[in-house]
Amino acid sequence: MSKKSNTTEKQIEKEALFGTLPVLKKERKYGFIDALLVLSGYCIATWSYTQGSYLATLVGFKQLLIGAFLAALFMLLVYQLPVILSVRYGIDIWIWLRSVFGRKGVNVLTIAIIIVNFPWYAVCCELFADSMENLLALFGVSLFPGGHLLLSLSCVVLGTIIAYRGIGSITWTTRILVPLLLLVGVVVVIVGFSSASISDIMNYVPQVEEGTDMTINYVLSIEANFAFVITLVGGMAEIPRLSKSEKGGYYAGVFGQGIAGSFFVVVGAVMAIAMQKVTGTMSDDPTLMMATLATPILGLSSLLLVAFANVGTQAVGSYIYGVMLKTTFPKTSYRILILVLGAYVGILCVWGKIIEYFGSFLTIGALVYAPLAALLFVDFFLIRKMKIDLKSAFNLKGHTSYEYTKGFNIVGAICFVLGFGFSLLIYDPIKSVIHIKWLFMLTPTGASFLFTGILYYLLNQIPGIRRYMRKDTSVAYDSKPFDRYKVPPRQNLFLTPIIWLLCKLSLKPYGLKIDKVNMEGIKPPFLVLGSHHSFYDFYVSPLALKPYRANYISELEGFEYYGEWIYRQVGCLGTRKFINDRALLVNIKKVIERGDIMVIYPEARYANVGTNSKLDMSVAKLAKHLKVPVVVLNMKGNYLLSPIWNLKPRKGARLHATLECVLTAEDTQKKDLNEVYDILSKKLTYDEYQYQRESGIIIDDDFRAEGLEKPLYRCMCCKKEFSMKTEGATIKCTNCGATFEMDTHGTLIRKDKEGSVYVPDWYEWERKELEGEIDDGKYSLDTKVRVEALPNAVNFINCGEGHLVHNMNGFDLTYKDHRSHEMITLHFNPASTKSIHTEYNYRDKFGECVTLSTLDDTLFLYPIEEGFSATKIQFATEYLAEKAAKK
Amino acid sequence: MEKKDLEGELERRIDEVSNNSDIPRMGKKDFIIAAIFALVCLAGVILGGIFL
Repeated sequence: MSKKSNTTEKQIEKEALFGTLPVLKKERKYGFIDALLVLSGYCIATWSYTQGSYLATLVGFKQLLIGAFLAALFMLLVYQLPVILSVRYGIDIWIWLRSVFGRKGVNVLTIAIIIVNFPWYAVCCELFADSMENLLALFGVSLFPGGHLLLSLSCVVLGTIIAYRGIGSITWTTRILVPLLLLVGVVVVIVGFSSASISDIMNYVPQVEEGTDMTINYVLSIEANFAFVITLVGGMAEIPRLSKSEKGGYYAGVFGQGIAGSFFVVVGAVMAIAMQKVTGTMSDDPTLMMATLATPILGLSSLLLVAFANVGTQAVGSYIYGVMLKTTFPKTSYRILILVLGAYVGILCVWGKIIEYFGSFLTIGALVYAPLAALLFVDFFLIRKMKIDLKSAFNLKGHTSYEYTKGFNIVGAICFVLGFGFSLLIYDPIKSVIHIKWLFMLTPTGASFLFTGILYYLLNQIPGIRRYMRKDTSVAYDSKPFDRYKVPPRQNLFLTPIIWLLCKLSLKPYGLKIDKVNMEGIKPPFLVLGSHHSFYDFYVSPLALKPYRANYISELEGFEYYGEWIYRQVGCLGTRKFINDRALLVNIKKVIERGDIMVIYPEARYANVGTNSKLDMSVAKLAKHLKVPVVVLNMKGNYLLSPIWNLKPRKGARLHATLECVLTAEDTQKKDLNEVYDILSKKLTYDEYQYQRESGIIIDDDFRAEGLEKPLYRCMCCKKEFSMKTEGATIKCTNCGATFEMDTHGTLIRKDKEGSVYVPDWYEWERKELEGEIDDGKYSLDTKVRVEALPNAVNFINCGEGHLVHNMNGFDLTYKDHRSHEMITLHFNPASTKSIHTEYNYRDKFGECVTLSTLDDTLFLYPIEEGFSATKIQFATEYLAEKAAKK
Repeated sequence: MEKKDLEGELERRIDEVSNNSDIPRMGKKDFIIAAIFALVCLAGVILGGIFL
């Protein structure tokens, strides 16, 4: 490769790489006026005349004016709004489109857009050939067969050569091109208005076939204007990202295209109307008009201007798209890419029908751009709320929010394809056939824009899809706190039988039996207190309460996982664990007062080892306060089926539930608080391993002990912490070698010696050991944690690394608050944290965790360092709270 | 510029523009004006179709 071509390649590489870097504030060049002038230049090209004459074949001049200005401005005002992000961060649209399509998806889109957009340059070449043909005609030379094609191809060749030479040639071409085009425009206006009177032009109506529906023609003209402006979406952010203010960048785009660009469209229409007035034939060729209507000298010079303006436009277009392709295919030579682009335009010229199919080509372009613009709009304003993860958008190492599925965002791609297909359902742009007239009245572009936008928005309301789409919540998140006071609706009447059916099907393999005790004559409203073993509790409860529907209390993370709407329809009340939530009490009372069943799982956490947690006195107080019957739902087998330390279902588990009215409304008032508490405590007691043994339930799954080291974190033999490991049915200490095998009845049998241990006994032994450490003043935790905040039902927010201290004074958590963006320290004293929520492998994210809650945030704390045990923290929290209560 | 340098430059710029709060932003009032402007244009397009 020669030295010169090497330099060009390097310059292009630099342009492709540096052209995408965020532009800093000090590097911004453009105020509103500067940006407007540059964008006006960008929007005018000789094809504006083609658009103008095309519109004049459809509608009268007044309607043409409305379409060219108002329709264009309307579409621009809407679809240009997202450029404010480009201004804010100084980035091009192609960078943040990665959030919509994924890293590789954008590359595919780039190619699609080039295929759709590049025919504009074939229009230029056709116009160049027309100009040269007219020029030769002025000298009495008529073209030989195939001469027109040769001329249009020569425009391709000339433009490609200029682009091939690189940036220097392009800079000079641009400098000459914009004044040339402006000059041509001025000449066309002068010649047009001096050839036909203003009233002739104003009163112009197109000659159409009899029976033509002029409303359809009007809609077609609006569609052409929408399409004309929307096809510039790909380049809409290049100038705004250099603007000094968001408003300036936005309105420069709107007026640059909507006023200056549209003005040249109207000039093209005036020219076409004037030509028809004088010659009886409408023309889209400015050179023909010059040759016909102007003086020979003016005509000749204008012809040359138009001819070379077209070559310049072709060259600049090749360069812009060549750089765009270079960004997509960095290993391919820029010059090869330019040649490919030249070949593509050449093929279109050989086809020779681009002008004939101008309207179709415009609409096809819009079919691609309308969904694209809609996705940008909805993604920016409604999905990401005007924030994106720039590091992921630029593919920085370790930042993969927009990687999606191997680099492709399936949701974005589906919406894009469906949006494209939707407009084809309405209108066939090739055959000009309307399929759905009422939707056609919105214009295919408008309808596709609306359809795609609404579809994308709705899909993003589905929790699973939202999680797929929103991996960027560390920077682009919704901090608005959950509305705890929102009155929970009754369980949806239509949903209730579906819930029963789904619950029944889910539990079918496990032979659920339900006993009802003292339930005769008990009708809503009443309070249900359920034991809490696993997620299967939520399947058993509705079946036990059949034929009544109920409301349930749920942690907010369930709202986030399944979606707020569906959770509310199921009848859930959202809250956070182990906080004093007054709003929850207000809503519980509302549920009871309107005559419904309120289901509460007072342990607020799945059983760690199949035994109940200590009941809080506040539950008895609530029972007395509500003055309604209290029913206990004591479930058995749910823990055995899916224990929290390994959720994989065990096929041998069998379920049993007892629904028992333990206190009538009168009992709650007659009995004192302690009596009520004792009754509830007794009725909510359970031991899953005892139930297993007594019922002869055999659980022989190979993996039956895997995960048990989470609750049994300390070796019972050598007392070493965090040394337990599990595999299959065995749990083993890596320090002393003590090994136990879980038999099929759930008992741990010592393998290396005689003996056996009962899981809940081991667990309670650990608790006592830790309590001893606390009493000796030896307990303290000081560790780094990963913090994720859940403020609402929308998203988890990655708050980065935090610092957790737990000692006799309670918890101190230091982390970067997502609202103030400052490091803060939250203190939770022992008396206020009666227990703590624990998870052993939360959603397969980062392993075990504990949560601390404020009224507006649930903070999920995952370990970063060794020595973090959710069970140990829970034991310490409960004991410190107990000690604090005794003081 | 080497790839490593470019990545450093990119990261530096991202950090700077992410904290670039002094670029004048479109406020609520500006969005309302743009919405009214768009509605006026749309009304003009609809009326133009009906009456002209």
